[in-house]
Amino acid sequence: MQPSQAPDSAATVRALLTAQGISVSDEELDRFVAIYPHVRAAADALYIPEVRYAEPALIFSADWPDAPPPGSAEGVYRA
Amino acid sequence: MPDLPLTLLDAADALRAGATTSVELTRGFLARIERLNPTLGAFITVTAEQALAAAAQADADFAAGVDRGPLQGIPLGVKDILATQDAPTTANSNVLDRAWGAGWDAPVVARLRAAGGVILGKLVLSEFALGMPDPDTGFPIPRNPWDLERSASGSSSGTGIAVAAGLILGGIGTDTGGSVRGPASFNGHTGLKVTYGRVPKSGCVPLGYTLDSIGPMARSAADCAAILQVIAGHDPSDPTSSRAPVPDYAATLTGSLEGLRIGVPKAYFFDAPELDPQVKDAVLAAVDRMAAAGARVREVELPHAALAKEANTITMVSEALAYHRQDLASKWTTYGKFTRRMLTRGALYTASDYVQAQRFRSFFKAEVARAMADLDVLVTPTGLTAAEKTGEIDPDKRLLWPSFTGIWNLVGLPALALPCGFNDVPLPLSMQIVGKPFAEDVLLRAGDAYQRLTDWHLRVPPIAAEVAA
Repeated sequence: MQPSQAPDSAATVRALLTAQGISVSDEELDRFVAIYPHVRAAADALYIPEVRYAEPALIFSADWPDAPPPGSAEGVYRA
Repeated sequence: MPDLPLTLLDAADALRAGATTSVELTRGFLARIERLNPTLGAFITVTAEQALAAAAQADADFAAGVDRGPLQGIPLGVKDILATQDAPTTANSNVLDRAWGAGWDAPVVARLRAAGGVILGKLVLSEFALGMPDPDTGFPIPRNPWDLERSASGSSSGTGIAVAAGLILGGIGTDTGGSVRGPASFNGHTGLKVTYGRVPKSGCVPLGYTLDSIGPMARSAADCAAILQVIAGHDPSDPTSSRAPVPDYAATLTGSLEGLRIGVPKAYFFDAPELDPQVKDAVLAAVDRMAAAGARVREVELPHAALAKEANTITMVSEALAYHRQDLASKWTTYGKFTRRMLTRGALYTASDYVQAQRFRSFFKAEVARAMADLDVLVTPTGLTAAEKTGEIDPDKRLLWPSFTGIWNLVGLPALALPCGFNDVPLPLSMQIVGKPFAEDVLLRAGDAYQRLTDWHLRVPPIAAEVAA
């Protein structure tokens, strides 16, 4: 079974929202359940053969920033 | 609007010719704001006193022979998602701590002030740059100046309205999936989504960290160039801001389209069933007009454009959820109903979906680079339609529709939205010119050259013309 064919979208959506600590009304839950198959299908569609060995566009630099963001300088300990 | 200059550069010329003063201009635009803002809902905060003081300083500088460039003495506005030292920042939300950003200017704002810009206030947006207008939140409802029953688009709706209605001569928007270009399209003016990193974004409430950009919105491409000249360039407070040199944008505005290599991606961008035929015809007519002026046009293919739209959405809502999760859990009903629904979509994806979207991003960037190898720009519609009636917008339905803007945020490219006609309502229609990384100069040159051949960008909504009369 493909991930997008999960039998109970309502249970899945409820579990995903609960895991994030988000509580919604029944009406809102229904909306999320209604769009969930489309959301899931869109994500599944990105797993195409052409991307099989692609590196993610994630860049982490170990460099320290040149300067703290404006307004956040307080609290930065300097020896 | 004959009583005040129509464009930023017209005003700059008038100031230097002694035909007006910054204080006169500022008073004139503040009067328009007082008259029209209750109807149009463009401003959240008007900083009249500070603006008049800045205008007086600009006039004093002119009198002393100090000229800081085209923005000196020019009435401007900034989206209320950027920190300013003289007013609170709301992000159009009751959730954001009002202490956020208090007492300091984002680098973009500081640069506008240093260039002599006169900031009239802070402009309405979609809540946290994502939601839709919601009367329940108590914030002004933005209305399209061409038809008050229609959307001004988002998220930089206030900036779009204010430029179109002549409440400011230029402004600042932010764009994560189309938030500069959408309002430029619906309200009938020019807006530039810059290359990721071209403009520092520190001091801006984030939406999608790897997608966000800050860009100019004004009546013309030449006006956008004047603003970009001031706000572009590295700032140490934003490690993602680029150290790439900032060109002299005004010097690149030659008025020529000769030899410009345009790619037109027909599939997806022109064959979607949801695309309004009047939009399609107007954009293709604009391409023909540019070809007649010397541009070379050919079709091009981007086979994975539809998936790129999905990857942008996954990236945006996942990054946004990380920023908002704690507040969503504790302040659910303080968010607007549309905002919380859109943010919570991020909870429906998995961590591996996010990483896969970034893997797709690498792949698609290479696809676009190959497609544009022997081209200078791509031309597409900015959106599917002209401004929609506000009550007919269904965000869940939009999830399924094509989108032509967020794709370029995914790959970080610059994109200029500019008017290219009117439909039979009449409402403005818009095309999008997409460029290579850091090639804003090429986009602005092409846009300016097109605007020297046309006057779509100079048309004024009737409600604004009546105020000026």
